[in-house]
Amino acid sequence: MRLFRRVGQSEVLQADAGVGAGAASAPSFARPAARPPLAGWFSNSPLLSGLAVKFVQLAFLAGVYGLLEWITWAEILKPTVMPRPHDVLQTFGESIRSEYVTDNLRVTFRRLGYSFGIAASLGLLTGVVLWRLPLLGKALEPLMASLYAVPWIFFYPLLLILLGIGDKPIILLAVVLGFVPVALNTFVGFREIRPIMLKVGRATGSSPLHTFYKIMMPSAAPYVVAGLKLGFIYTFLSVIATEFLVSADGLGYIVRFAYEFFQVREMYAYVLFIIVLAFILTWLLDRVERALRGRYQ
Amino acid sequence: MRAEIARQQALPVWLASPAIGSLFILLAGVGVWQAASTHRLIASPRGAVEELYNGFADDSLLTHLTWSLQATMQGLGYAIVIGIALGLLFGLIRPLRRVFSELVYGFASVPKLVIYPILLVSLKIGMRSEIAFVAVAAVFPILINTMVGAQEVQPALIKVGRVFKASFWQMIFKVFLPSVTPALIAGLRLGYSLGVLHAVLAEMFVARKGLGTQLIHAYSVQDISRMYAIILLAFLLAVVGNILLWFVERKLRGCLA
Repeated sequence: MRLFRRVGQSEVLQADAGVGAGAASAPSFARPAARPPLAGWFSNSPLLSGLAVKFVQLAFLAGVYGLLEWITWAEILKPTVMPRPHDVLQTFGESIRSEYVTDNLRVTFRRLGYSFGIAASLGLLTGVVLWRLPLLGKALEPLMASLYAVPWIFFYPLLLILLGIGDKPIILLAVVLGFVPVALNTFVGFREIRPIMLKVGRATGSSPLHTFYKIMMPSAAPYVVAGLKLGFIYTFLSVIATEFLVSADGLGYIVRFAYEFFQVREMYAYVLFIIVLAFILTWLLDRVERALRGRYQ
Repeated sequence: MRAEIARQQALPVWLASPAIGSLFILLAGVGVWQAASTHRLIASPRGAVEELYNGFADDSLLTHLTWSLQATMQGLGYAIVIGIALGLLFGLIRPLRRVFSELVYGFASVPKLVIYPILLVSLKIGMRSEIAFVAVAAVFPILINTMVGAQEVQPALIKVGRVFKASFWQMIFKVFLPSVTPALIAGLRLGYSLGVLHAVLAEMFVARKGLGTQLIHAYSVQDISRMYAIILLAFLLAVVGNILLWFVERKLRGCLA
């Protein structure tokens, strides 16, 4: 069952590489003399400074906005299909202030908090236990990775019968999905700790707390943090998706409600709201990850 | 990664073989399922398999299966073309990557299901909106893996290409694509699983046909064993495709190494 484990881990490792590789690529082969014309495209020379990158990003988004505005102005798409972007933005602005949206946002955050809290603590605990009991770890690791492959969300009708409409089925599904990457990454991360380092710690008589901070965390933290990040994103996806499908409140639900009652403009605004939320959350997670990495490396 | 490889080699060969491991997990899974099936909401494995057989015998599942499969495959096709093209573009051209990688990672963590109503409104209920939805769901793992893979092309290979004055397309097809392929296939596997999942999820929401509509129908008439049969079918669909892609990956790895 190595293939399932690979699915999970390659993702983790690559998400990892995606963060690290941008900073650490040294242009060892960039020599100005005698280059074929297209070589510049493949080189790693930093052509844009940080501020310029932000500017181009904003310009790109503005371009997309302008394009959408033009498409709806020229009635290439009818207003019932795609409302005018400035109307959507206006509704978006109103909806942020409306109680309807903030209440549902609070509901979603409550579920997110519970499910990520449970998933993270359960995952960390499982990872450490699997590391301490290597035989059990070897046996259960592929099993846990294959939990990924089972589409648990298809069982939501049954969970509704068992647990009723409300927080419980949503939190349960999110925990099942979010717990696996945390546990697997904790397990892999703690396995990266070299036994000789622990021996050194023991020989120099360092306290358990000291051993944890100075020896275990530096080796394990990058993996654990990547796992927590992935776990958080998975719980977020799962909570919104389940809310969309079954719930009677939450951000996913209000999108569905707007769709079912043909409130196209509201629907676009709420989807935009969720997209913005996802961007803010990834940005925050990135900052947290970077801060933690910086601390332990 | 190196520690990972070393550890795998330390295991006895027969235990480390994926076939044995898969078989063991399969048996354990069926055992747990059988043990749990005394509950009224859990159909027995045998009941589910029989229902699956009946569904194919009286043709009530096949049309829905082909519908879901068609949506998945066409959507995946679009996702592959767009994902590889943009992935190579962003992976190889650093300024573009710096501009777009944040946007890509941000959109990758947007719950895709909420995009589906927008596609329904703009493309109407039917095959087209489902294909577009699968493409949106599957494109991100493919794009991100291609992008990351393209970043890690060995500089020596690029140098060799330059020394031999390779043309643009030669660089793409002879240098970059072979190096990117393993990462790409890993992304493809993830994209395929996500594609199947999202196709069925979309059908559970609103669709003309497909496994998801049948799942909801089975649930609403309380036909528990049919429900499990459909979930099993969707699961098998994802797993079989994954295993096939895994074989392709191994073959390609062998060719490239």
